[in-house]
Amino acid sequence: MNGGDQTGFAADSTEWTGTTVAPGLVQVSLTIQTGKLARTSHKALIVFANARARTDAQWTTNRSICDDCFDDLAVKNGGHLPQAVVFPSYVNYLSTKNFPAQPNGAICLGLTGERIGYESGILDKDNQFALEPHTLLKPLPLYRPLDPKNDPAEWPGRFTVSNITSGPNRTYWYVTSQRYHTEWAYAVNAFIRPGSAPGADPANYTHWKYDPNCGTPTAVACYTNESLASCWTARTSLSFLDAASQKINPNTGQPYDMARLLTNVKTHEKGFHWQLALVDYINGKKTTYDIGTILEGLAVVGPNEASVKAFIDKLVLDMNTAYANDPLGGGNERVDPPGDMPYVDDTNGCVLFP
Amino acid sequence: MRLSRLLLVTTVLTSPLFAAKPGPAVPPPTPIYANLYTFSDVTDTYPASISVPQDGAWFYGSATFGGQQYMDCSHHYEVDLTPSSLSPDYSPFLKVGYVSGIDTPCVFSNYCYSCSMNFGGFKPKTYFTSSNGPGWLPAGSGLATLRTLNDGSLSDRVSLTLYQVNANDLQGMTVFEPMANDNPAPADQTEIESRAYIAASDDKLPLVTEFTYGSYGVFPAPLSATFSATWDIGETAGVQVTNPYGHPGYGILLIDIPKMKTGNHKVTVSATLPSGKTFTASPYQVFVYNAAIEAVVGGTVLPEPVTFTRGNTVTFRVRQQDAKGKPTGSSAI
Repeated sequence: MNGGDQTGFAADSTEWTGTTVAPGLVQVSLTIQTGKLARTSHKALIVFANARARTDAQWTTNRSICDDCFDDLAVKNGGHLPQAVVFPSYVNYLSTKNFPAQPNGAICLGLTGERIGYESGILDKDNQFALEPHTLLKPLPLYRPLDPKNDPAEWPGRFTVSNITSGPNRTYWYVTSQRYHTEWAYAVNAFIRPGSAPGADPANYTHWKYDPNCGTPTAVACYTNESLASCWTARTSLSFLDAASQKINPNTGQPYDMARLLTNVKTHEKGFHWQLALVDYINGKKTTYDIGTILEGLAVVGPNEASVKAFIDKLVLDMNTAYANDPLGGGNERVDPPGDMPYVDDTNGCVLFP
Repeated sequence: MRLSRLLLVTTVLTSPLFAAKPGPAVPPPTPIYANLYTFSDVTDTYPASISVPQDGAWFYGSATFGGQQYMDCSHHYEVDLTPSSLSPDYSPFLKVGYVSGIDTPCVFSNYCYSCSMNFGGFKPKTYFTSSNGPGWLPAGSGLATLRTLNDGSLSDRVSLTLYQVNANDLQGMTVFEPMANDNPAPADQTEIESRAYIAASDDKLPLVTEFTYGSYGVFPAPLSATFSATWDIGETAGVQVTNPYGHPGYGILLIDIPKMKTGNHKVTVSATLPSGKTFTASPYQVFVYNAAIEAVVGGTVLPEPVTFTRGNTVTFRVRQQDAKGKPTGSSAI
């Protein structure tokens, strides 16, 4: 066999050995001595070698979902107005109409997304928060570790690569191990979540009041977060959830079924955003979004380990972004009517209505 | 149109331009044209009957301008067939004279050393050399008409020979190894002795057949022939007929090489014409190597189709196989 540029490959070799990761055609020009004559094969000997994926556990991507994970969603800084993750007041309902996420006005009752980003926030390259802790659950990043700044402990061991130095796949780099994982969570708006101390605390009841002098309804800066605590406590000693649970629903003549509402919100968040838009969707597009499948199948040519790792890091980063923006993945949303719930009419003495 | 006429001025050679090998005495080939033809008027024509039997026929000949040794670069002539369907491979059947882009331009005494005749306007080459190959017509009969493409004058003269050799009259068949699977020129002996053909692979043995007709020349295989090949192990092999020219000329047989023991082996090629006439060449010997590439992981030879698990250490090795395609012994060659 002629090993080409393979260092130390003897000219009269009859075999070629090396770590093999890529499928392909091996062609051999054969020269043999027959008596006094050296004969060369009229045509190359060929064999096609197909590659089968490694099945070690590490190539199955680890995913976890934290159920009903946080009790403070919509509390910090008065919640997040553009996403309508706010206290269920009428003013907030009206204000959210000015933002693309809820153009018809709504109060977001639950969110699903990346758990660690909610817990710790996401830092940008300038050490500033791209996502502040305990503000929003976002479908990003799909995989942890994210980068050395946000996951300093995990980052060095995220994957290992090896260079193949002999055989048909010499010069290829391939991934020998990977430790990426998906950490997902869903949470219910704190103000309708039983047992939520932040949600039960009237000190956290706020609304976003628009300043007409500011002049730009679509600008968050034109809204001032104002406390409703005194207004609410002057009317009742109950939490919003308890008060809502006792309020009669004019549509049914019965008290608002807040327990059923809660169940519906949880079912939607887990069943749709986790199971359908993440687990099932990625399982159906493994070569696009499943990092275990993708890293297992990589065969990369690069000048050195650093360049190969940089290539893979960008691959993962691009995959995170692509999933978050995928209208059938992280960008998937469906209006799921969870059931009736009263608002706090903060324009009329904090009474519940309708 | 004036009456066609035939002026006999001189007799020209009857042997083809391409290489001739001696053969048993046979009747001379049938002349279609074999004279000096003068076109004192552009409407002068020289008709000749053509009749090709069931197995088809080869045609060969040569042309020179007037009484000179070569064609010039100015005069052109043409032979048309009636009906034109007689020559499915050529239109017109025959052209005589300089072809721009193909022939060497005249630089001395207006001689065109490469100009002669060509069938259908292209020059079928024997073995891709400068010698013109013959032209082929399938079975049929009709009329050939020689005419001038010049102005017509007493100096408008061409010495033309055109002979017909019927495929059924060919005497014997020989085979040789070509330079490559797509180049029918004979390989030189050193090249042939350096070749090893690989058994039970997609390797093919290329052979070119030649047919003899006395001392008048050798001809490519009749286009009407079908071929078979039998190896000395008793196996009939598949034969693929290729035609590197794209028009009638020397074709190459690509013969399958079944599983057989390593060593010298002979293959016998036969050709059969539509009439049933069969030619069989002397057995031709080549060296066949029965080897294959094996893929080995952890000492175990992977079965075909080869599938390895990514990250495996795979050894690809060449091993001699037995006549059934199994590895022989335990040692790698």
